[in-house]
Amino acid sequence: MTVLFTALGGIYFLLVFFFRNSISFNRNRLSRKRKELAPIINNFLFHNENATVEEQKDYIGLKISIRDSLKKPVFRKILSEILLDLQKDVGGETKKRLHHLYLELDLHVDAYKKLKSWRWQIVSQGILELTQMQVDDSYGFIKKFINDKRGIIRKQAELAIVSLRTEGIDYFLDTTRYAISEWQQLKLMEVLRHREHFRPPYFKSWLISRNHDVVLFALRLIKYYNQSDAAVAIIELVKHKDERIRAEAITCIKEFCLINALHLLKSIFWKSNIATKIEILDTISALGTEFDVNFLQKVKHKEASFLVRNKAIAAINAILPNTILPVHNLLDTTKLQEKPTAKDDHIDIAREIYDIGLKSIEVTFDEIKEIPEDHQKNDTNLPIGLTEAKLEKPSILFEIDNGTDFKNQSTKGAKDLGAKDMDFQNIYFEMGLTEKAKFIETFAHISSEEDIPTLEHIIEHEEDAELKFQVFKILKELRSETLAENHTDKETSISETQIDPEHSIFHALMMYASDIDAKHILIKEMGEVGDEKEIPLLDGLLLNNNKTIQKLAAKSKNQILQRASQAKPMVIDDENTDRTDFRPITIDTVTQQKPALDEKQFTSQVSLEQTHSDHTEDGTTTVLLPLELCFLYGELGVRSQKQEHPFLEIDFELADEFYKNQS
Amino acid sequence: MNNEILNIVLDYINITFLVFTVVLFTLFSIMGYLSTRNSIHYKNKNSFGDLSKVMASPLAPSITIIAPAYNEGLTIVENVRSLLSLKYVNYEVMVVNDGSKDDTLQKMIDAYDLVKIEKKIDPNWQSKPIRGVYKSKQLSFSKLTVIDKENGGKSDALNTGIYLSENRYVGCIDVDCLLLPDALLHVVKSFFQRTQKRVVAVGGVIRVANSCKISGGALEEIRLPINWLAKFQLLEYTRSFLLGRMAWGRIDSLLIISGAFGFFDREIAQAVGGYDTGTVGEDMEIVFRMRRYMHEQKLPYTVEYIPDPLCWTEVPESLKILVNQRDRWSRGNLETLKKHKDMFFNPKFGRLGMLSYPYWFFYEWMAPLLEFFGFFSILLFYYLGILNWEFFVAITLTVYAFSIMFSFYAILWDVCTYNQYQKTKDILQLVLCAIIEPIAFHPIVVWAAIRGNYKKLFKVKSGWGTITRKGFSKA
Repeated sequence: MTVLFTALGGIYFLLVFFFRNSISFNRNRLSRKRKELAPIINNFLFHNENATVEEQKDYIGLKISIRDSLKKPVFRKILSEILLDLQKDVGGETKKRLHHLYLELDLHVDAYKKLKSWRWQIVSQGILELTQMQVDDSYGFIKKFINDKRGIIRKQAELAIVSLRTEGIDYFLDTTRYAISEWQQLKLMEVLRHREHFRPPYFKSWLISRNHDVVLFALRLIKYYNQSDAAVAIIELVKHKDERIRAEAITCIKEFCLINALHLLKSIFWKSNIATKIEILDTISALGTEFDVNFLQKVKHKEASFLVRNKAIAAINAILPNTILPVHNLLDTTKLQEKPTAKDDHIDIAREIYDIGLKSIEVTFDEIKEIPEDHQKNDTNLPIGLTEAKLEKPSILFEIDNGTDFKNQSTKGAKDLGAKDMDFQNIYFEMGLTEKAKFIETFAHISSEEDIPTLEHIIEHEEDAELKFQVFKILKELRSETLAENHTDKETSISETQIDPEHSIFHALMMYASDIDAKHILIKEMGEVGDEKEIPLLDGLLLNNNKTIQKLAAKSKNQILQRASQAKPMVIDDENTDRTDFRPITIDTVTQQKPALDEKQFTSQVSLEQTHSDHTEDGTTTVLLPLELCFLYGELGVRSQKQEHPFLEIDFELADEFYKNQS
Repeated sequence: MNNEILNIVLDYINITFLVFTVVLFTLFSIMGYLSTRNSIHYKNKNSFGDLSKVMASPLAPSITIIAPAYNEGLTIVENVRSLLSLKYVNYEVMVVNDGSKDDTLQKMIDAYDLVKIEKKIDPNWQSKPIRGVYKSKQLSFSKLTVIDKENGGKSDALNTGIYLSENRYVGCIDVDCLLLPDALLHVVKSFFQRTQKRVVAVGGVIRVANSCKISGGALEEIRLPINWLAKFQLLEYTRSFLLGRMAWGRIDSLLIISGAFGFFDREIAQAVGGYDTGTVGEDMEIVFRMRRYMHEQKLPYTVEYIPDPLCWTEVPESLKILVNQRDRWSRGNLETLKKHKDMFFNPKFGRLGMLSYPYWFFYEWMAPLLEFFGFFSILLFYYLGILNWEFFVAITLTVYAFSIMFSFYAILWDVCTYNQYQKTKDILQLVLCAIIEPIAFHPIVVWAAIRGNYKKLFKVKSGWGTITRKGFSKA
């Protein structure tokens, strides 16, 4: 035994070097031959039939010499290998010439011979060669292998017939009896994706196939080629026994927005596995309406899987935003409250408003108008405008709750603490840098004048320069805001209590604004041309669910307040404030005032938001304004640029026939 | 009378060793044959087509690569960058910071511009608390997710990754491993190519990266390790991965997928409860459990094995670390075999119970013990003057010759298939390793196995130990 093993060991030792040398010898030979043949192949590939006589003679000589060499099988084999390698690196016309050269040199005959071999790897190699060289005539030979019992040959044949002819995919899906592996589907898809000028057939025809893999592949192709005409069949396939087909059909339903399938999806939900359940909930989330919320609530309560429950919650919130809110890890605000204060009342009211929102009722301007009335009973000292401004905060807080935990805890805690500034400051200084940055970002939206001491404290003690700067910015804004508010409050406290949102000229426009863009423009306009009358309306908008509207409203309100304070640059001194300074603001006073932006500036600003714009000859941009804004301009007596263009100046392009008739 | 009894006992011992050795030779010969067939088949089958063409296919499945990191601050940024540059579209890199005591997390936050995001966690989820989930603000790193959790060991970190992943497949790798760019394409192919059986796991070859030239997270030049301990391990890995696992893969009885490069069907991995946190041999144990689960569910399944050199890792170059590593492996082996002892020669589990498990029991767990006790028996018999010299010399030489022959065969097969070490000097060094390995390296492995078994059987407290990484040599 020892001798046997030693002898075997010796043989293996020799074989190691034999194979190593053999591999490197073959590699070197191929590379040498490649170098030799490269100029000849180039000559064939790039031969020009209009070349000089000398070149034509050389070309014919080359053809004769290569024909002689082609009699040697080794040479043919090497030449085939080189051409097959080369075709991977070339494209377009050169590739076509290469394919033509392959046929011209009769190398495809060798590939055909390979198809007759009994060894699967040789046959597969033959099919691969014919496919890569796009030998169209081989289609008939190769399609015989489509149901070959040897897997590799069969798979190679499938790829070949799909690659060689457009009708290949039809033939394959019609005739294949074997399962199609996922990998094979992936490769077939790649062949189809890269086919030039490919017009896919209607794959719904194969949705009735008995071969499950054909159905699955057809569904995937339907989805990829967006063939939405198969809606009815797709919905039927949701009932399929095969879990993979069911899952694919559900993704198609989501892709094609087949809303009428939702009922069926809900009916199969409870019998599905977790992956399919998640898929169904995703679809309901994308296509569902408030009528599906009951089902989702049921899933939320009955489903055992945390993932599925979570998905159901997400779906509910997708259909009715902010329906389910975070309940865990929130600071217990009741413990933090020492005694009820006016501020706390504001928050409670805000929650009430928020609860209205939960019941899917949109907060309308009328409702907002009612809140101050209710609120006035509790705290009549506060002007309505300010009360409403405070009401925005809890609503923002709840939205932030969907973000991160810390925001939830720190900001909510911070606002509820109110008088407990020191505790809150401690919380802030216990945070990490990232948390602090996020906190400040959030604080920028929700801070009010009572936060000024806290902000000053932070500026004093914060070590990070960037954070300090951010806080400073907030503080600066707050101070200017407070300054304006103080001034305006004292001036207009009486008048404001009498003003309701409806007094704003923008109120009706906002109510009937056709789309969200129009609303955005109107809010910006309020900031640009509006006055204190717009403030109650803007305060109402601060409670809107749409964050952009909230931001724009806040910005516009600031603009109005700043403008108001600039218009009367008086010293803010309570004692000096005289009620006789109060100047009621009317439409006339507003129109007489110089607007913050002139018409041209305004037009260019609006043009950024417009999707439709026309370029005039002088390079300026004219825009199509929303109808509501046109009315507003009319009422304010402002003429937009568009009106300045006479209709007759429209530059029509005349047809050639016109000039012919003229002549 | 006493002499007669002693002679009978001696004969029994001789027969036991002889039978054990003959069965071992037979099994190894069969393994050599099976691996050869499997390698040829694999090579022929994969000679058609270009994998990279399908990397962006809309049908390409989603994969999460989970890389647990513990005190990897020195190399983490570079390692993650390497993982992010794989040739595949639909994948996610999930680094699980397992309560590192160094700046691993902060380095990732700084390098990849990470921010904490909200992630809902099942309150019933059993693992060490998750401190946070981080995503990059930059689109170019959108594939990266970092989980920060309290320290709970590698298995716990991997389980957290499996739980938080939402992709169809999960890959569990060592963060310091170097994956070749097309590694995921090979993995996807392995998962996707079967039609009759569900592929529940895919494992691959682990190659030795010591002394290799690495540039920008990519393998630039393959070199033979300079350190002799690493050279021995390279030979051992070649033998084990190219012959051993390839053969087990051929008969669909592969029982171990290396922890450095293992991919799983997430649904099945979750169904079996993920990795066992109570063992140090978690990579072997999870395969046992997945196989058992599929058997019990009576579902057709398989475990695939990729022989292509896709994963490169650094092996220990210090004797102490090597012994610790092998000690842990043998403990893990014993723990797993003990946990699944009902599979032993149990026909209910098919080849798993009748072939794989007994092989692991006799030739992976028991062989080092027999070798160790055999060595002491020889010394004892020599001392007592009852040593059968003729038998001892014959069996020793035969085992030695067989061992060298088998190593030569592994080298031959490596040359024929992947031909990684092309210099004559490198091959001669490997041949030399094969000749001296049974005397110089093998005893160390046996000693480590004995130590591991001792610790386990006598409940000596021991954990993972520490592995100090040198880091790949930079180009």
